Amino acid sequence: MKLLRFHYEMTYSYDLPIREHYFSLKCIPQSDCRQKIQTLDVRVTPYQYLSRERDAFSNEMLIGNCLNEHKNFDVLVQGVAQTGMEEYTGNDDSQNIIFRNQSPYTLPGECIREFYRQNELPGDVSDYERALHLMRKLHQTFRYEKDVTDIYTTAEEALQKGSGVCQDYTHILLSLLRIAGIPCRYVVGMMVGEGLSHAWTEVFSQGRWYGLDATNNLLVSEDYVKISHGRDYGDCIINKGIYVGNAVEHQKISVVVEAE
Amino acid sequence: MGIIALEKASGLYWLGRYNERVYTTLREFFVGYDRMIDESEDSYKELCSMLDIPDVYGSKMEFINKYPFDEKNVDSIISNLTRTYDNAMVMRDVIGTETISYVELALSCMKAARYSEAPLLELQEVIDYILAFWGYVDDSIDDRQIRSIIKAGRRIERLDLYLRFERPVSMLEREFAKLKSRMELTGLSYDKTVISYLEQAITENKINYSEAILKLENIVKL
Amino acid sequence: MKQLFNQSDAVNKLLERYGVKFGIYKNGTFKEQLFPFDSIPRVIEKEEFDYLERGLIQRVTALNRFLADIYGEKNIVKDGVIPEEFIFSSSGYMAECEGALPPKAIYSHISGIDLVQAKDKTWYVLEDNLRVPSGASYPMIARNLCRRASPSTFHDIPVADNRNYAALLKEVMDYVNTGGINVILTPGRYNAAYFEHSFLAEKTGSILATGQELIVEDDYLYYIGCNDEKQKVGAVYRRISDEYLDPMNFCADSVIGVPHLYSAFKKGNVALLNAPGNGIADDKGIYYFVPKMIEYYLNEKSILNNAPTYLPFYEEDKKYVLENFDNLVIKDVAEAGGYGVVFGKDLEGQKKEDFINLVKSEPRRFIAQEVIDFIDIDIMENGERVPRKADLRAFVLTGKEVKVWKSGLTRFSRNPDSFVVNSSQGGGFKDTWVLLR
Repeated sequence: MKLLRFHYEMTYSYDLPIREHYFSLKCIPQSDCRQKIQTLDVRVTPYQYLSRERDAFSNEMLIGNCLNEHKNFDVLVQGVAQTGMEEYTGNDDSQNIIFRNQSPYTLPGECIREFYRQNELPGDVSDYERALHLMRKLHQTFRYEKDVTDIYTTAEEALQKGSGVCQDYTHILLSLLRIAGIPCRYVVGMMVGEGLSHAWTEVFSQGRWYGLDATNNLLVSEDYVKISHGRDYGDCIINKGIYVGNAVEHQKISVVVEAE
Repeated sequence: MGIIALEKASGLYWLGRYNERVYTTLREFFVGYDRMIDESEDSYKELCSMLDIPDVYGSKMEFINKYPFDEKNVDSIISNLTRTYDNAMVMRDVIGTETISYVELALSCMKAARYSEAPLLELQEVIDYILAFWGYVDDSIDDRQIRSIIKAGRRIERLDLYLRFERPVSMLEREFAKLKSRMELTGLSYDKTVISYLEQAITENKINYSEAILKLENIVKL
Repeated sequence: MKQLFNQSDAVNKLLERYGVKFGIYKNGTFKEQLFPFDSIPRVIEKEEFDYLERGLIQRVTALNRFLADIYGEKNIVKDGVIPEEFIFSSSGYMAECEGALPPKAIYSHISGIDLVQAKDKTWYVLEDNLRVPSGASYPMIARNLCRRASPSTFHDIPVADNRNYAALLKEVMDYVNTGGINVILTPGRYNAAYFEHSFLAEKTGSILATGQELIVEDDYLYYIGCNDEKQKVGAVYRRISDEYLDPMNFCADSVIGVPHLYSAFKKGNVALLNAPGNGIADDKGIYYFVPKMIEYYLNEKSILNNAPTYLPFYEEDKKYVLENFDNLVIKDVAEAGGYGVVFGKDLEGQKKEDFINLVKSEPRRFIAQEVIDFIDIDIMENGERVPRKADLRAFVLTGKEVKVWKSGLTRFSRNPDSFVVNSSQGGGFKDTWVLLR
């Protein structure tokens, strides 16, 4: 077990005032059997209306608006999480059917199908072992490289390109696992030593969810703090916002996770 | 009836204004047409300048044929009637299908008049439908605020046009009185200094027409 | 009845007077067109309608149960009645709607079920429309005008009055209303069905609003007045499709929706008619499973027939479709409004080959149906009666009870060789008479 202090800050600045700004934030870590959020401090500035809700996959959200003109928008989430209580999270719902079906970002094409055919693990092994095997194979093939893909890149497109970032590693692994009919989900979170938010995969095997970080070819350990999960990136967007104003947006994100 | 959204208030107001513009310019067209029968020079130019529209017409015949009917010209009467229609059809839940039908009728009559050998006779029907529209507004719309916003549009447009035509002060006085009492019933926020400005100018019979028009145009922001 | 037929022109003139139009985009510009009306009605005998009514109530009841199941426990999938890939990878399935039970558990308040009658008098359901079915206003206003044009016809023939549609709709809105005014949400006047939006608003006493006139604050929806005053909204009959309803929950590019509207709905603070997510139930692929759904949820045999349908997704069906291609009509499950419908016999050469390959490579995308030779109904053309293909859209309203409107929209094709009757493809409409005895 470990105590991690996390500090997640998003600051947006605009060169011209924006107004009628609506936002929806999925940035709040929740307690489960892997992690316990001991203290939590969330600040949004500015806002005129702010409310909490849970999305379709029980992620905690902050929704709200700021109709008046403003040139800055800041979101701060900080607190302490106790991690590594278990290696897995329990199965808390009956949504596994959803998670074993392909979703918009993971729809496989020829490239992913071919990769699956070549790397499928034969024999009577658990879904967890299948997933580990696919992760290792993926890690050997796919290269980490920034600016090759963007937030719209699907799993198939990423694998065709041959390189990408954590979002792409996760999508490809999800797509492969779903070909095998294994329930799996996209996770957004933070990890020690990473200055941005991170994405990894959770795979369902023998009644439990296990975390696999394909980008680093690692099992999710006590150095990870989970924020949200969904079918793919589209379900876990940290900040969704719209506003009126013809401004240039400047975004700064800083994430610090360190042992207490 | 509860509250009225900004878009609705704006639609009602412009419905009143455009409808009145069609009505008063049509009447003016009738008078001008009658005058043009007897004259050879181009008095239509005067009409254009009074209406503050560009004179794009080569002859009085062209003016007679195009000013009412040319859909491509944004200043034509039919263009203003089309705007009336555009504002009316988005007000169905507020003023009702039956009320709107008089605008539909006026527009289809206007389109038919274009091909008529005696357009003035058909244009008379357009005027009849417009008046029926106003009659139906009074008869069927129970909500005083809604009625008043449309009518405020009508009153502002009428006074605006009369100022442009430099009508005698007695006529302006009458139109102003109607406008003043109507504005109070709209529940809209409007510039009350415009009312006092106009009141003074008209009572003292010292009217700076272009200034008065400019002020009137800005009495309400819709 | 003859007197009425002679008044066709008069009725059309009245329809013009009352602005009964639909919008259409031609070469990129918006035009309003009159919806041509033919005064010869479709007549449905009492016994026949009683049968349809029973079948429609059964069908819509099952479809509503299905939606609650899919976004809830998913038993129909767990029990293997419908393959899961037909649901969770479908574009009609909206994960955002998971677990969000609408007020009174009603998903499809207004359902438009498209039927045709074959030459042997058998009725077939062709399509379920559970998102934003349109068209009820047309026969409703036409009836009013026909009664003016020919009072004696309606004195002599016992036709069920269909002018109660707005009252039925209002009843449903009031029933699900969570406290506040009723609003009809329109994308705006450049929508094809704008006339209907505005007409139904007038007749139900609702406020017709665009997204800009509404705002979500403190988890409630409000209508904003011109002096910034606010009025709470309890029910929204929205005529905007799911994707554009709320840019914060669905398509972020939408400028016609209301931000956070879906959040207010999820918290039970406003009713949306129809509820978001219904696209999964009127998907042309799911259509195949509706009779199975009825058996599963209601333990009854389906009263209404589906047109014989094949899913190329199943190998056996794919084989049949490829062998009988020329006799079938193939539909793209993602398209609506008469688009994406291909008659096998109409394709030739390379085009045919390409299309067959598309069906082979994307089998999930298509369904194939036997072409039903449906009955003609006469229309008046240049003073003569000529037969034309016509379908029927029945409207089923679900509130406290499930009710079938005693009428419907009968659309006909003006082209004698065409089976496609959609208004967006140039068709006309007729009144639908349900006889009382």
